[in-house]
Amino acid sequence: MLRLIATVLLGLLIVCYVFLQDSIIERRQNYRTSDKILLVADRPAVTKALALGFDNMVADMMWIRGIQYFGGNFSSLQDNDKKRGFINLFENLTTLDPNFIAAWEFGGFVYNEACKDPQLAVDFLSRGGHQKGNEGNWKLLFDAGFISFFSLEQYDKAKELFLEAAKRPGCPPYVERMAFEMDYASGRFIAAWRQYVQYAADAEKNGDTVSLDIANDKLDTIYINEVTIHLDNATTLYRVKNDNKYPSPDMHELLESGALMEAVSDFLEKSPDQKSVFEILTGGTMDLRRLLFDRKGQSPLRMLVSQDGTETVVSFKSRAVLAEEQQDAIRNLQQMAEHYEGTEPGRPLEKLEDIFEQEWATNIPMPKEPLGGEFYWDTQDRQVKVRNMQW
Amino acid sequence: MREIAALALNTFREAIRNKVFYIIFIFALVLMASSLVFTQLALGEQDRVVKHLGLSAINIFGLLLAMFVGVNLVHEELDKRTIYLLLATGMSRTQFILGKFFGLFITVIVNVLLMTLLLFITIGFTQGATITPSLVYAIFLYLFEVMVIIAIAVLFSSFSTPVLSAVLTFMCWIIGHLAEDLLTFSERLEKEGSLALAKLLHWIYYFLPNLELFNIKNQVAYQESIMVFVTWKAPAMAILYTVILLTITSLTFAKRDVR
Repeated sequence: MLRLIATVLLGLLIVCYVFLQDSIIERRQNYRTSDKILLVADRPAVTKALALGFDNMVADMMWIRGIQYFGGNFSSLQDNDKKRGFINLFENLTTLDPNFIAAWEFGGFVYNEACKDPQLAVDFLSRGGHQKGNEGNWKLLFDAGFISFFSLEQYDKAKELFLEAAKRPGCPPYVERMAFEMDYASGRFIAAWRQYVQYAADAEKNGDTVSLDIANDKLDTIYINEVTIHLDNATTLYRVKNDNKYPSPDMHELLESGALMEAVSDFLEKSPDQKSVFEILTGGTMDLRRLLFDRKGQSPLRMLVSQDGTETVVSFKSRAVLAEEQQDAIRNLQQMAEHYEGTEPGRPLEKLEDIFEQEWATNIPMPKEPLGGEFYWDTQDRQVKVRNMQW
Repeated sequence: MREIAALALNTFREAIRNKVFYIIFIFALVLMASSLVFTQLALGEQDRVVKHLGLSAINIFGLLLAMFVGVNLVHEELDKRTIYLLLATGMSRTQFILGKFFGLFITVIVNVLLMTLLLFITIGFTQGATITPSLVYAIFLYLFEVMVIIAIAVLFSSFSTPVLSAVLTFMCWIIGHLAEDLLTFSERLEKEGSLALAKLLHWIYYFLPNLELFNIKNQVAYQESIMVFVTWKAPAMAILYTVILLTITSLTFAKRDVR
């Protein structure tokens, strides 16, 4: 009997212990962002002293912690606490092992792509490249140069870093070529294009889906930015000849009126070096119709004309991107509708507009349907749907 | 000489009887479990992770063995009064200290060799990891660090209790790895004008063992930079320091009342 009581008591104590521990963790959850990732001192020199000669093993543990943390927080590392925590972690890591090249590379990548702080990434990578013992590595300076060029548009700095990288052993010849490409707009486009095509191929080969998505997004952005130059020029010509009227969203008038042909010819006459860029934009076909499609030549581009105050803003997006935006908006609206029905029991939602009259949603504007239609609430299915799509 | 060898062998046998080699099984478990987990998470850095983990585990387990067995070496003989038998055979107190020291050193060497073998097997099973000369040299140099630690433990155990000896030895190990910071601190004090304190710290620095001189496990991942560390000077320094410590131990123990 006594044994049974003791066993039950022990069981109860264990349950209490587990419950107490969970409740403490839950209570601290909101305050744990940085210390959970860190577990290191704010001063890397102190961490180094505390490592007691096990510097690289501690660095390895931080490395594993860093990449796991990145995996779960990629999209929220712009948050100040998380960003500060991540920077501190990598400062500690690289102080413990200044020759840990993968850590310098990864840190630079995260600062640029997830923390959205390209200047910090350039400084970090340059510092890594200039550490004692890292003189044989060209990649860190190349990455710093590439971020200077692509994200910061500091072409002189990029050229300087590329040239320094090119002098290091094992550096491929294209790095020196890229340094000189920084002097010309066409060269910069080609350099960026080539690099992200390479990134995408490497990511696909390694099965790294995060990097592949990033590389594809960048390629889409580079493509649209370049195509926009020609479509903008053609639109200006078209409007001059058509009483200031804009072409329709699919822009077929630009082709039919010859405005696109005229704009491209003028452009290539003034900048003959852009011919190679134009080749890339048309997928090597030199066919003007390709300029009205996305990078892969599959989804047609749409001209979006909107009003920002007194200014008219013209932008170009592919139908595929707009369709993605439509799906995102549907998901958000569906969540809001479910929240509405949860907070207003017994009052089923009649129309989407009702949501935006709620106190918690008054500051949120009703989203516009990206494909020219309208969102509505299907009272039968209790789902957000789209009707009257124009494109 | 024969007496020292006999006592050393006996100390080694005693260690086996005390099941100190069980530490190898714990080491194997720790190494294999952590390698299995961490190398999966290391994103292409499996080689360095498995090596650093293995070397660190060898360091920690070797240190624990040297420290906890070392601090009991003299005390146990005194406690069980077996020292009377030894001294009665004509063995000198210096021979006793040396025999105990070498016995434990052999025990640690055998332990480290077995752990190294397990580490090599783990590396063999880890994708992308290779056994390099730098790894072997790091372990070789570590044996000299552990030799100094044993000498320190034996010194403390010759005049103090096991608990106090263990604490003091552990503190020496910590200070030994921070010795260079002490020198930096002394240089800073000198610049700030505290000459007397700077001088004192400078002397303390030379008095303490600089264990970082035997620590090259941080360079193991970088094969090309290891050659700088390959020198006869570090082992020579360890031997010199150990001889000094054993001499002091012998002098201290000679005056100790063992009744």
